[in-house]
Amino acid sequence: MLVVRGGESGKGDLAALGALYDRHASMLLAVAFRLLMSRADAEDVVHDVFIGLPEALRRYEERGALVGWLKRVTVRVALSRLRSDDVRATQVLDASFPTPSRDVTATIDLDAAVASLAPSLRAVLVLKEIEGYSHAEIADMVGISVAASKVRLHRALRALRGMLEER
Amino acid sequence: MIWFGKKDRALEAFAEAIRPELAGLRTPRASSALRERMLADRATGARVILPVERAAPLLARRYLIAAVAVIVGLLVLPLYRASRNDAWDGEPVSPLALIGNVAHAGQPTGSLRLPAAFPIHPERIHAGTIRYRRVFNDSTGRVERTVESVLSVTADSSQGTPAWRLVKFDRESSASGPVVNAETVLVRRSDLGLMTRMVHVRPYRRWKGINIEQRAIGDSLVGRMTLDDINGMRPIERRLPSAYAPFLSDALTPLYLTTIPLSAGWQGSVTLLGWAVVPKDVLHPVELRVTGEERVKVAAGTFDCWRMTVGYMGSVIEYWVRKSDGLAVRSIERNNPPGGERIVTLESERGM
Repeated sequence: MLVVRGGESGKGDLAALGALYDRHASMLLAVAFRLLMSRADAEDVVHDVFIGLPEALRRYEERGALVGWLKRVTVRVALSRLRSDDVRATQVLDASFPTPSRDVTATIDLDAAVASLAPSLRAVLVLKEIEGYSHAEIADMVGISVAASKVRLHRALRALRGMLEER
Repeated sequence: MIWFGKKDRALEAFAEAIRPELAGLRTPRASSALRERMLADRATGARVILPVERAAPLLARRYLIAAVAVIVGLLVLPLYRASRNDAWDGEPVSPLALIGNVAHAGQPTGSLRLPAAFPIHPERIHAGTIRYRRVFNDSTGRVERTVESVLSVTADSSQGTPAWRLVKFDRESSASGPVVNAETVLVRRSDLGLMTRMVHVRPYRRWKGINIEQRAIGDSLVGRMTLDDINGMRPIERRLPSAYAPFLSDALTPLYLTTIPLSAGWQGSVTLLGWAVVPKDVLHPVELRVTGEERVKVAAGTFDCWRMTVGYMGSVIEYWVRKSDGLAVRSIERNNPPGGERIVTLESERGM
């Protein structure tokens, strides 16, 4: 594991931070993007995560993988942004995105359907079905009960199914 | 999936079917531009307090170890402090951005003369971004210094308590390089009470940078001060007397009056929190008075404002807040710098 020393921002620290970015930023950006459905907001989240990383790493306990810890921190920052009114308008089909390897039409439909879900439903759907968190973990991160997490997932899936059937 | 005890097999099958497609949703790749921006901000001293990642439930043995560590720490700390105090030359005192400039020496005695201005409508705070510009003119009107200040407010929570996260980022260009003053504050949404605060100023005096970490616990403010280029720390342990409430951090200042209905003749008091590292920089009482109405033109627009005076440790600052919502629009402090004046103006706002 690379260790970034907090407090200073010498060349070595920045190099280590840059190396962490190179290794994990795309994965974290994907997590933030799926939650926020806005590239600009997702980039702001990743920016903030890496800016705060040297100090946060002091609190990191090596009881789990660094990747998992980074993802959870990113999810918390993204959810914090999601709860605010500051999330910018959704822009799903950015031309600069990498080309998907799957059926493009189906993916675009699903992109649009997921993006059009209410943020509170989308968050639970993404965390459960894509990121693989348990309802207990989601409840903790989102600040709701386990039952509410299950209800939101149910509603998200129903809404998603309804939208895809219409297309 | 179980929904009120009834298993919806069709929905469960649908979830199974779309799971691979969901995993394949298109996402952007992290760009080199973002990498450069992040590294540049970090190099100039930007700091962000990330949400606390709560650990899994600990074993009793770990509680025991932690308790022993705390006891040992309490026993060793006085010795450690005595040895460390020689390392600092000068007393770290908080710079205040929007009301006052540098905290004056001395602490108040007795009680406040004006009624405490507690927030009446804390729900009026909401997410957004505000930009201010601070200009320091000398006695001839020539601009000596300019500081750009960005304050962003986002919704957050801490240990289940809904909170606002305020991040104030001041940047000043000087001959010796950029000077950065960043403050991240978490306040409760219910009453805007301080939860945590982190300040980073870079450079600070002869050091690369200084970090102030504060946490409000009950009627106390605890935390620590560290310097970027010296190992060790100075603890912060101050009591906040209720007679001086409400307590505001610097970042909350321009928003605070949005929570209080102002009117002609209104007056009240608040107390700004210093860094609290040294005894003379803990409480800075401020007296606020509405003295009139005025239309004010700044870069962000022309606004009908309440004209106010801000009494602050012997100085009086002229202060204008927007009548429609109480947002700070302009402040003028005479004789700061000596013979000159300091002018703070609202440059732009988004979401406010």
